Amino acid sequence: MSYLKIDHITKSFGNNKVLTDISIDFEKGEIHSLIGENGAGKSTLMKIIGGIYQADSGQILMEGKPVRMHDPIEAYGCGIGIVHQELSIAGNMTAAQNVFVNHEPVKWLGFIDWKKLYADAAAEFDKIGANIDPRAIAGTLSVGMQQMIEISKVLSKDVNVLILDEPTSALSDNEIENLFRILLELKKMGKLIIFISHKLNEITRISDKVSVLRDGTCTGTLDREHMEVQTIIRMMVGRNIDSLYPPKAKCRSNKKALSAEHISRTGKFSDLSFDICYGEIVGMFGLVGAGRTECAFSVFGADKIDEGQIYLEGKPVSFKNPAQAIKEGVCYLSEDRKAIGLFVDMTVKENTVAACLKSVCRHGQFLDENKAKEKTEGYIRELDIHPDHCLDYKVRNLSGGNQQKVLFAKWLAADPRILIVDEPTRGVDVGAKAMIHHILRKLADAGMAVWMISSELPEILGVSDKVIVMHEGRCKGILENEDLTEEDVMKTAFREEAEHE
Amino acid sequence: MKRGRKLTIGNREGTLLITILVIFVLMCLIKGRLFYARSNIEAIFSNLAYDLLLACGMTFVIILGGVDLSVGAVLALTGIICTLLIQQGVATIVAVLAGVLFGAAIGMLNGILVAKANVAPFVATLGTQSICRGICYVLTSGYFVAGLSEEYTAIGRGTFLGIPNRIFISILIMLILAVLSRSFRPLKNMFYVGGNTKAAFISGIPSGLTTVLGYGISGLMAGIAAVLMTSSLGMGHASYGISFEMKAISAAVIGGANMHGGSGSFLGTALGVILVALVNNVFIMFNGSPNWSSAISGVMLLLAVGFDVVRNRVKSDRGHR
Amino acid sequence: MNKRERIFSVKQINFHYLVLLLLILIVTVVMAVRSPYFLTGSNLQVLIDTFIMEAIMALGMTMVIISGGIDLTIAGILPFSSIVLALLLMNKVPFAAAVLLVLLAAAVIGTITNTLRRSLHLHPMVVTMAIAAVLKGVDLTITGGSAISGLPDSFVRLGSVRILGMPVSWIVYIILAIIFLYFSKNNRWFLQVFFVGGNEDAARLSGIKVEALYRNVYIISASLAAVAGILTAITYSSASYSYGTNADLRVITTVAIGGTSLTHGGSGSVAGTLLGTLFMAIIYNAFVMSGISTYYQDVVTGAFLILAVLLSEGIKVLKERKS
Repeated sequence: MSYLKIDHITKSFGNNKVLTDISIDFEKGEIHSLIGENGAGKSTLMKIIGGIYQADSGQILMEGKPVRMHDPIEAYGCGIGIVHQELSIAGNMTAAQNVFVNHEPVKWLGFIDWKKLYADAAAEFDKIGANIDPRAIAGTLSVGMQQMIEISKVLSKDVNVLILDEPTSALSDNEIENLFRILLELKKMGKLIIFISHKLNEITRISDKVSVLRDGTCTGTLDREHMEVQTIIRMMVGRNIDSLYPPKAKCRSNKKALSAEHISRTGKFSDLSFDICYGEIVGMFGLVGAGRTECAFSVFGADKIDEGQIYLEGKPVSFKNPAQAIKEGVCYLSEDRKAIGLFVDMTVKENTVAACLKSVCRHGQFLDENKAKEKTEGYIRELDIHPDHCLDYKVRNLSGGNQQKVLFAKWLAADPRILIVDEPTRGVDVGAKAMIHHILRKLADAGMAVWMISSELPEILGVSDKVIVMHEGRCKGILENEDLTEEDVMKTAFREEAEHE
Repeated sequence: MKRGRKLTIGNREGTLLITILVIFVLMCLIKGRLFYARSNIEAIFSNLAYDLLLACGMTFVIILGGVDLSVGAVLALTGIICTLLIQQGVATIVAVLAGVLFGAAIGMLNGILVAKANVAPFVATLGTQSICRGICYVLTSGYFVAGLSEEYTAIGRGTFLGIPNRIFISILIMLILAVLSRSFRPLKNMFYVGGNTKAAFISGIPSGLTTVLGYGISGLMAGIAAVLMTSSLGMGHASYGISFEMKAISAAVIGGANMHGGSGSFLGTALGVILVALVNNVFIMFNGSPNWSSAISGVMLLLAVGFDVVRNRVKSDRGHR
Repeated sequence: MNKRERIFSVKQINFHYLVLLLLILIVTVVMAVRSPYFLTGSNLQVLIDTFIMEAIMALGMTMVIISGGIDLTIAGILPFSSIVLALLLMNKVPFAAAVLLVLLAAAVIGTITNTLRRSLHLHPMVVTMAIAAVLKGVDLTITGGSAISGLPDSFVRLGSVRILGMPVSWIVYIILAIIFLYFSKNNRWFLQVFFVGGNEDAARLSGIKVEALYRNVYIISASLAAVAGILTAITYSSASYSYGTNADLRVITTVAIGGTSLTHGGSGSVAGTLLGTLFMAIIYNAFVMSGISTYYQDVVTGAFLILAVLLSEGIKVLKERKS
């Protein structure tokens, strides 16, 4: 009988099915990794085990007995603790206070026993071999140290199951080594460690077992001896590319629209060089944290560039803010449409003209309602936004796919020469997805340069003419998309890591 | 703009209009002559001009997602500056311009503190409120500034087609703002900035400049209100406009402005001003004390927000089914 | 490495205190040179008496602001408490019972504040401003705009009671200040306020009952305002709606000058507030001693508020740039 068993777990958010009938067995004293592409459902699954979400159906069994957890506190009661992807450290408190938050050793009347607090914290840090001063203010410590505090915080609650969600994404190499040493140590102590990552080399290095998730289902669990990078990659991506994708470029010109030469932004991406020509779709592939969005932000003028130069049709440019970029015909369709893309409480019409207000104004200052209406109606027809009389609907009331189309309309209305699209099909249904892909191709065929950022490999392969492969802030290769396979791209992304094997 | 939208129960302006009418008719029935006597109607509308101007300025600030606590104090200070200048024999037009521009400048200072220096709106405007109110007393030692020229007092006391100038001017300004806010690009930008500041920045809308403009207009409105108030009362005093900000905020929120930014309607604000004035009058008609005036505004503000919260909850419950 | 970082952060805090202390010292020296009366016992007594109510309320406000909120109700609660106390006493309610009832009323107001804040999803500034307006209406209506005097003799005598040569209000403040200073550094519940202000989500994930904590913070602030109201009534042997006018602004400014951030919760200290209190009290007194119109007080208070926030924001930006 396994120690922790998740049994036929299913979970949906609204109409979006995130997990379908997942069952995995976990044993004590093992490091069990979960790997999968973005959106495969790793984090959701962990949050269900940690009591933050509740499954729609299925159950969690501990030592054969079903357990129900409604919040993180109850999960702690069952001996399960999560180290979250976003560090939940209060930067204004000391390391020790963070470790023992809400269960500080107290004397009387809730007075804190400082001696014991710092001694206990020091003991906790010792246990995992972290060299942290318990009295240090947490916010002044490095991210790696904060991560150690997080781990100590969870371990101090006497857990047997430790879940780490993408723990290495912000750590330096040394810190990762240290973390791994600690994890192996904990494994020896008989704890179950569930390790979520998208970094193949890390997983193959330390896990005893790896379970692969794809599109909300578990495609299998591998033992240590069967754990080969190639196999895992195949299990992660093994899909057929559907024929829904539009045809490739008809006429790619050689006229460079946008070139980047050795651009860097400290801590985000470094030394990127690439060209985007008119008439083609350049796909930029990488997993979360690869630095793709950051790169687009810098090019678009929403963030600065530390080194390197960007050229627009051969002329050096540096945009100080998005307004300048838009003026020059560079537009950026953001990944997070609710947070930085749309004005959800405003109407479809108001959203559509948001980036091109000047062009629908008389004398540049007075909004011409008829022009705005015409323009919006044009895009509603062209992009097939539903319902077709949604001109004065609040964007909030549209479906995800239609919201995304409104976002497209907003940027197309700004008349771009170069369109940067960041995860253009995130959270939209299959029909809208195909539609968006066809729109992108149509735009490219009409002469626009399209730079598509995506972490979905089938999309990258199905749509783009050229693929820039990013991994951890670096460009791992630029591939022409001729009979390119998913494995080719994945191998490029993990190139050096695979070579280590 | 409003052509397409009907005044029905479903939308805010319609609800407000009907509420106002119902209260009006009920009061006429209950209190009869006492209520619809000319003197009482005038009493209801006596402060309307100033409240309306301040509330219009406040609507912009709330659309931006902020709040301006300084308007009452700016009104008092601007009024004192104007009246002092007039007392010194400065030409009327110069004094009025100086006052109005001064109001706008204080507003823009608020905007700069909020947009460029990252100070929370209520902190920045609370600070300027205190500074302005303090300067009022420093300048006047608490005495009235009287002895104003006829030319100046004529601004507020004169009538146009039988309507007092101050009401005429404020309604005119309200209507101009209502129209411009929907079509004039710099004003339209405020809805975008208040709705989603980041998205506005990404869409190339100058969010900092827009914020400064919004607070500037709020100050400008306070300046205009100050001129109208001092000229019609014939004097300036440091205590003018105390707790007017409360009334302005409630009127704007009752009229449909969302304190989280992004939405607001000037017709709604105008109806909100009337409703607040009317409820105050009803209260007094039933022998309530005028001391409750700002308490009534406060309660109406909370009720309006509570009403929205409940309505949204009902709406989203329906949506789920 | 961490050792150095720790010392660095300690230095940051001390820096703020040092600057404040230095300013206090400068003002004191300048005033002492200019006026021989400044350092006399009677002036020091005036200095303390004019700012003692704000000093008491600043303690509660510090906790509210650290939790990430703000409380403008205090300017309404202070006179309200004095009036309610006076009315109770005049209706022959025993002193102890009257005080308890007043504190209970304040606790209820604090609870209402937090409930409205939470259920209406409104910034606490808006909610507390509305409640303050309502309280002001109540105050004015009860008193009819005039002061209530003619309180029982036993109560009036409290005003001249001296313990160790100090009036009651001083004793209460000293006790409260020591409790807040000590508790805010050592008590689990007080420290959780810092935690919630610093990272609300983390606090929630750690099992802290965040909503209960917010409620308690507003109750404490309201209760301290009630204490100030009771003490004001004792000091002046009367109650009036005009007590505590603009106290909210002076209290918030005091807290801001003490280094508690009005922009982000979680950073600040009671010790800083105590220094800020001393600074403000000396400045106000310096105005009086220099014969400058008290009307300048409001101007200076507002300017200090904005300056304090600008400086703390500026220091933060500089720090971020460094790292």
